[in-house]
Amino acid sequence: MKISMNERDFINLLTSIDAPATPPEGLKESVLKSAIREGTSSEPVLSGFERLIFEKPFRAAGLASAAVSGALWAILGSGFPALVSGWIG
Amino acid sequence: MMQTAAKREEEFSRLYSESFDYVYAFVLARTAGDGRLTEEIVQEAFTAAWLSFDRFQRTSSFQTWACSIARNKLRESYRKAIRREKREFVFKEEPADLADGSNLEETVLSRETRSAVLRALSELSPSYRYALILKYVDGLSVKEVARVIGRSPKAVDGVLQRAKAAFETVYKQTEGCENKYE
Repeated sequence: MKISMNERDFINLLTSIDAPATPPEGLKESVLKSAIREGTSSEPVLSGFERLIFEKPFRAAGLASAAVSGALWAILGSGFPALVSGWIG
Repeated sequence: MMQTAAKREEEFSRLYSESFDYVYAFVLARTAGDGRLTEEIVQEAFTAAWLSFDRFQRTSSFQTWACSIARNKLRESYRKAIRREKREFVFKEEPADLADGSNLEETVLSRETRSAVLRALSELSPSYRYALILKYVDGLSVKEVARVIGRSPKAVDGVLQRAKAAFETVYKQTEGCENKYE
């Protein structure tokens, strides 16, 4: 008769894989060299605002449009719809 | 400026040297002994660590920080593998070399057993393997596993049960298990 593993045996088995390991020779040096080379030769670091403009231009345009509309609405109040319909023609 | 860059590199190199073996072992266990994939993920993790080294908060150790980056890289890798539903993670080689754990003998099983566990895990589909690793190796709750995998807790419960059954079937075929569990 087959007996299935109990939970404890199962956990012991699986956690046993979390053990020290020996990396292949030379890997440590090559990973470091490659990481630093890639990091140093990469493009200049952009600020949050620059990232928004260059990487997500549509989102930036949407935000700018919403902000301008909101500001105009706040200033013009009920005159804002008339202004918009005037622009549209 | 040059001096600051050199200092930064020097500090990164020192912390890297101290934590490399640990991070490598951490990833190796979670790829079920796939040496090639482990190298890729370790490389990606340390490159990301170097790129964002300025943002490293000294509130945790560098090792912990690097492992959390590696964990994210592992998640991306498993998600891709699960999406593609291909068997490219299937174990085709011997598991990468595990260090001799003779000084950690209290709970650690034999090297052969570890290899058998890794081999059995590597035979499973990526979704089963990842679920088992998250639940039993990382010790996450079913809810947390569900959040990582992006499925409901109920679905994850089912996946875990099937994954466990599949693991037992494969594992029992390996040496030394027949007597214990049959």
